[in-house]
Amino acid sequence: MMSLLLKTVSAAWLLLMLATCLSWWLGQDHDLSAPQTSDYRLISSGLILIAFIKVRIVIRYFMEVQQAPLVLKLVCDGWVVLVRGAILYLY
Amino acid sequence: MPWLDLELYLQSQAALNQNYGAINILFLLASSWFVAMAVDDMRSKTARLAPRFFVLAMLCGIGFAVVKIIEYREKVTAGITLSTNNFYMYDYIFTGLHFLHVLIGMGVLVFLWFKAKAAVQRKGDFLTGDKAKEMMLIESGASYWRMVDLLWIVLFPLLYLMK
Repeated sequence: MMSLLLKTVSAAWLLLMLATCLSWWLGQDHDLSAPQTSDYRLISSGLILIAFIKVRIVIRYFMEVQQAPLVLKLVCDGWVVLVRGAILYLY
Repeated sequence: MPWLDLELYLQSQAALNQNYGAINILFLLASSWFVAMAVDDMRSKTARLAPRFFVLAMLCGIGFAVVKIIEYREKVTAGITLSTNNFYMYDYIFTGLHFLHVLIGMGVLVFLWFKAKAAVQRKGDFLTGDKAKEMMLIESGASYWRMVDLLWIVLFPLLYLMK
């Protein structure tokens, strides 16, 4: 049981939980009257960035692409960068 | 741009309860972690804990569903439906499709749970080829569940947080 808890995947999970709390906090209590100002645009972009970093962690460690051949790693990373880029561009 | 009514989107978004969305990420992350532990346990020669981990993962899935249903109920009783405005249409369709995947994923988890129970009973009594085949099935099912988690990670900031 302890050996299971000490695996990389647990560290990945902890990191994901922390990132979620950070997004949660970032998305709250900010002056709602001033959305779409440069400030909030920055926060929103940050939120998307955090989300896709989390996606990459999930792909690498939960879906175990970390142990996969290089091609699959590159395809997954390429996909993450592409979708993140598209969302940020559209935003 | 008429189809991009910013004020409307922002007002509608403000009515969403971010806490529900965030709690649900935590539920899905926890369940993905349990699934990861279960798969890891199944890989070892004698699986022991995997069924219990799958049950924990399912409980988190149920937790997600309960929170989501409470959230939908709150919205519907407040008179907010698909046709209220464009924002809610997107919101309902995206979260609804995601919810459908959660339900399918729950079915997958039940299947994996039966597989894990069978593996524990066999006490690692496998032919090599069968073990590899079995693991492929289990890993595929597990990956599907992570995909459900992954979708919510992206949907949450897109729908609830971005302004």
